[in-house]
Amino acid sequence: MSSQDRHILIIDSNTDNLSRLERIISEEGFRVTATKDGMQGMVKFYQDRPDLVVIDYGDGPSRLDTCREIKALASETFVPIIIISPYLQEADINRCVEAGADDIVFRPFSTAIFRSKIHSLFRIAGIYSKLYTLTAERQNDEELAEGLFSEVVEKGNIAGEYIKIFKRSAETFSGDVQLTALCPNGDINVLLGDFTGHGLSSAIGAIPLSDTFRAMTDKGYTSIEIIKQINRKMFLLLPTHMFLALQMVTLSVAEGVAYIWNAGMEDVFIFDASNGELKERVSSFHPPLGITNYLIGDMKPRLVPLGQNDRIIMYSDGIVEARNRAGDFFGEDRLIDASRQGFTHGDVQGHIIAALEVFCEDLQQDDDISLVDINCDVSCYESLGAIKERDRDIRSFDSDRESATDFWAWQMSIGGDKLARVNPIPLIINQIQEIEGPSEHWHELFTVLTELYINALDHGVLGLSSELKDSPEGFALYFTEKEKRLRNIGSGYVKIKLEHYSCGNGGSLAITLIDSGSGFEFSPWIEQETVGDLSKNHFSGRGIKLVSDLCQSLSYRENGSVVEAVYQWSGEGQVN
Amino acid sequence: MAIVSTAQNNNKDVVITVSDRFDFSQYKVFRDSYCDCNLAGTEFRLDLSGANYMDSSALGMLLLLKEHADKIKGKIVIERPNDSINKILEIAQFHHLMEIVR
Repeated sequence: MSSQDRHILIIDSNTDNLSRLERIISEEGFRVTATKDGMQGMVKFYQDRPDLVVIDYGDGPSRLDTCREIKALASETFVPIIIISPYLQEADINRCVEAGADDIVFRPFSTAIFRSKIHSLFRIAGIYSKLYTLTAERQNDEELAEGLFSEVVEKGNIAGEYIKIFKRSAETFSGDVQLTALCPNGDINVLLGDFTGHGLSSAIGAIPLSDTFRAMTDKGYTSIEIIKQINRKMFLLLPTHMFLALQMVTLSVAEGVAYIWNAGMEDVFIFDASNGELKERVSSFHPPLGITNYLIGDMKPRLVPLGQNDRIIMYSDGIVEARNRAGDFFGEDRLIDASRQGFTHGDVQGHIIAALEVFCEDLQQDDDISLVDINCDVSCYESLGAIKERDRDIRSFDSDRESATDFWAWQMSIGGDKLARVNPIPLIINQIQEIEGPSEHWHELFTVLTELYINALDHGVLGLSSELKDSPEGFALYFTEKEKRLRNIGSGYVKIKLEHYSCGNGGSLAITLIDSGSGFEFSPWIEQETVGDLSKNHFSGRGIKLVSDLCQSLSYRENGSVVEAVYQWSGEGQVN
Repeated sequence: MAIVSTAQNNNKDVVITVSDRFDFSQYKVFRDSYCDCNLAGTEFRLDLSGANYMDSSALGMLLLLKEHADKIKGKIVIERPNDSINKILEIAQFHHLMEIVR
């Protein structure tokens, strides 16, 4: 802005002083408005919006009111005010500054000094205006990003009724991410992530994180596969000093257990809500993700058997690290107490947030606050998933099959170390989707194939006894033993063959799995099924029951090392 | 001065002392404390005994120091963190990534 564009308002009741000031300022090339009266000055300020105001203090303290009013009118724009006065006491100087004066010039003054003050105040005003623009732009960007973020990242969350999510960001844009998604077999994945830092820069990873989490959950990858992939993505994407701390819970609806991961976050709590007992806590057992290219060591989830009153509480460090005026942390103990009160009164989040607010009073929070409260009564989630109890009126497709106009067959073998490292089921489901297009039936089919494959691998190739799984402790032991045997798998294999016939607007898929094992005891499961419902405490045998519920037929041959199943569906929802 | 670095043993050992708060406000000073130490095999010892607070961006700064050390085939050792800082290092499981001596 050139001098001519700048406009200065002078308020001085002394005519001589006024004309002298007017002369100095116009000689500098500024536009000038001069007035002798404070009220008149405010009107001029309002009308002309000058860029700087010179006020004479000679008329006494009432001039300071003018000063205050002008600052209020200027609002967020920085309009410097220079006070001109004979010598002032210290108390008066303070009063001027409090009223909003940006500089004080004492009479008599040299013209050069007065001029230089005007120029330097204009320089500062320039910086202010630049800062103001930048801040406004940043705020605008953040609001835009936040809108996108909640649309893209968190919109797909499910089961909000049972998985309660609370989030409050320290800045507009949060470094915390909460995601929930449904697996093809009806399991639920819940993820709480905390990116380093705050604001826009901490959120660059959020969209790739949610994409990976959702796509892989949807395709049925296991939690370790999902976490490995997230780690790899974050390693490639995030700069060295940034990372993603993460908790992930897989609620296995069929098994009634939770698989819990904790990479660099506060402990995950598992409470029994009926008595407030803190049953278990899962501490961080891996560095945050995105630091190393591969996961470190033998990272395995913690396995926690779930009761129907259990609640899993996940939270970010913003809660426990919130401080009060005395500088104390809110801490874990207060969080646990508030959770317990919440269980009694049926509102965990409400109690935790209320306790936090009482503790911090009105202090501004430094960090994002995230809280996830998961209801572990797995029956809540059954209606969401593919596992639906239903009566089936099995209709024979045999006559349709003969008139099938199109069919395809597909097979694969997988053996040796690959068995330990690759899960072929998502690949197969992908193949089927490629050929037949998307359908809600693939969720069920995923369950069928997974159960058959796991049985062939665990009981066939690896020769594991399912009796181990009779107790929650045995369940963990079972997985340890499985890991061990997978490492020494030798020449074992599983062959999978699919034959598909289209019939009308549905189809029929014959599935055959052959494994290298010497067979296993399969008859008790099949018989149990005819006897009645499996006892709730049985951790094994549910898989076969599920498969026989979902398939038109299921039969084992060669002592169990060959299994054949037929899965059928029609285009309109269920096969009825 | 919150961060001081001193070189010993012909610049083969660099001791970086952090006092008071170890957080993002120290970013530049911390970086300046090691970025000119390019001698192969340098051991960076980070003395945290005088620090009483550390946040997650400080963890990120440790990773930058580690990256620098790895590049010149050196190593880093974190020394004497107090209880609250040690808890943060433990939650982050940083002992998998670097040596931590209490």
